[in-house]
Amino acid sequence: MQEFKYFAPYNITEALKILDSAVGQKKLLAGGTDLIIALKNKQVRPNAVIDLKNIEELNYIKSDNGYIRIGSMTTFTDIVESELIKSQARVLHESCEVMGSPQIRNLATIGGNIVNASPAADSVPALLVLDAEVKLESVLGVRVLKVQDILQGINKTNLKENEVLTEISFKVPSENAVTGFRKLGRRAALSIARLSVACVLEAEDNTTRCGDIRIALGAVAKNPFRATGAEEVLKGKDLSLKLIDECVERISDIAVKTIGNRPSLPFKRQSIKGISRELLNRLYNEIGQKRRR
Amino acid sequence: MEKIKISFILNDENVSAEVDPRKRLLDILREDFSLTGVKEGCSEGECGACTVIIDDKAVTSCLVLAPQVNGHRVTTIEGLEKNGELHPLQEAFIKAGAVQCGFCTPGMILAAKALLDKNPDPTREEIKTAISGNLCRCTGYKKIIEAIELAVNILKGGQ
Repeated sequence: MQEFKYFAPYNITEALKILDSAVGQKKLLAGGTDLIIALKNKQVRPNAVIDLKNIEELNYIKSDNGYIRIGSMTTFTDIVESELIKSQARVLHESCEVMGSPQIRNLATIGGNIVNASPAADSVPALLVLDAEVKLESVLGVRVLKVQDILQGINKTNLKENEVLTEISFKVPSENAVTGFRKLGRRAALSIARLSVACVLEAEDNTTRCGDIRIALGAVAKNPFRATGAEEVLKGKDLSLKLIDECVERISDIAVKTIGNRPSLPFKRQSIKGISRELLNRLYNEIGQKRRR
Repeated sequence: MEKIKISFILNDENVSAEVDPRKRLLDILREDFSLTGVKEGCSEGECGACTVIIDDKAVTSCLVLAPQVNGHRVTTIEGLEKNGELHPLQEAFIKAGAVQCGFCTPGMILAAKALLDKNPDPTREEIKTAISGNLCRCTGYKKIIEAIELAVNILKGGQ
């Protein structure tokens, strides 16, 4: 590793000041599960590393007037173990539960997962379907943007050099909504997603008619994205297994178009149908169960 | 290189050191503290051989910079033995024949310890999940899982 100056601020104000004043290339250290490997392999050569893990005020999960707010340094383990997330935003619980291994989930943070901007970032499809926003802070002020609006390609975001992602927030899905996440990896633990799908599906009051719906795909494009074309297949319609099959075909078409002519295409074309069908059928059943209650 | 002074609890003892911030926890444990039970495998958090426990949580020490443990509590395999007595997990690994080449063993035992400290009566599925970040390339996981189940029994007071 190249020499760098190490900073470990204890509050956000101090961190923002250091980030603004440190000279040369700066890197923020969150969980470290990607950065430390990149440092070791000399893929990044910062002059300063600013460790955000000691900042307690960035570590929380709370419910706030119909919204859930998560501090950016909250680990995947803390999210998986949160009863609030499990009961109110199951899609996020499920996406964090299958990220990495226990050791990685104990280190990695949700803020780091977003900012690292990997095509396969597990929490991101879930955050897209929750329509989540992120708070970016710098010495100059605060910006709030949708998650999709900061992702700019593989490992790229439009955060300014002196900005820190401090909070993720989203509106709690309605009582009529069901949510879930499915991923396909090479092995159960630790696998980087080869494909993932997340969905929030809301039924109109006491019916099986599809109201709000959001579907997002991961590990298909440079960043996870909303498959709006597939959402349209279900939106406003009376849900049925046949309609879900149509939606699954549309998801596969969208994935194929996005992936382009790559060696993984024949595999992904089929396998995305499998995980999408599993997830959507499950959500359809859950809507049925909700009605009978 | 500017060194950073850190203090932390290592295997129940207060220790301090001046560390190069480029070193990983794995490096200082092996090189500065001679705790060679911490193994370097893949160096990217995939294999779990370098697992240690920081504040009750299993983590891969190849993904932690040395100065990050300042003020924290670190446990390595060397810290499990108490007054010459092996930890029940260590006893169980021997009894169940769960050690072959031994390279994955410290990480396996520490991943299991983090589980049992939190959940003293895990199901087989919970055990499998707890060691899912630890690779064994000798034979397999059956005896390792059996050893952890045996340790659960020993800890519960049975045999």
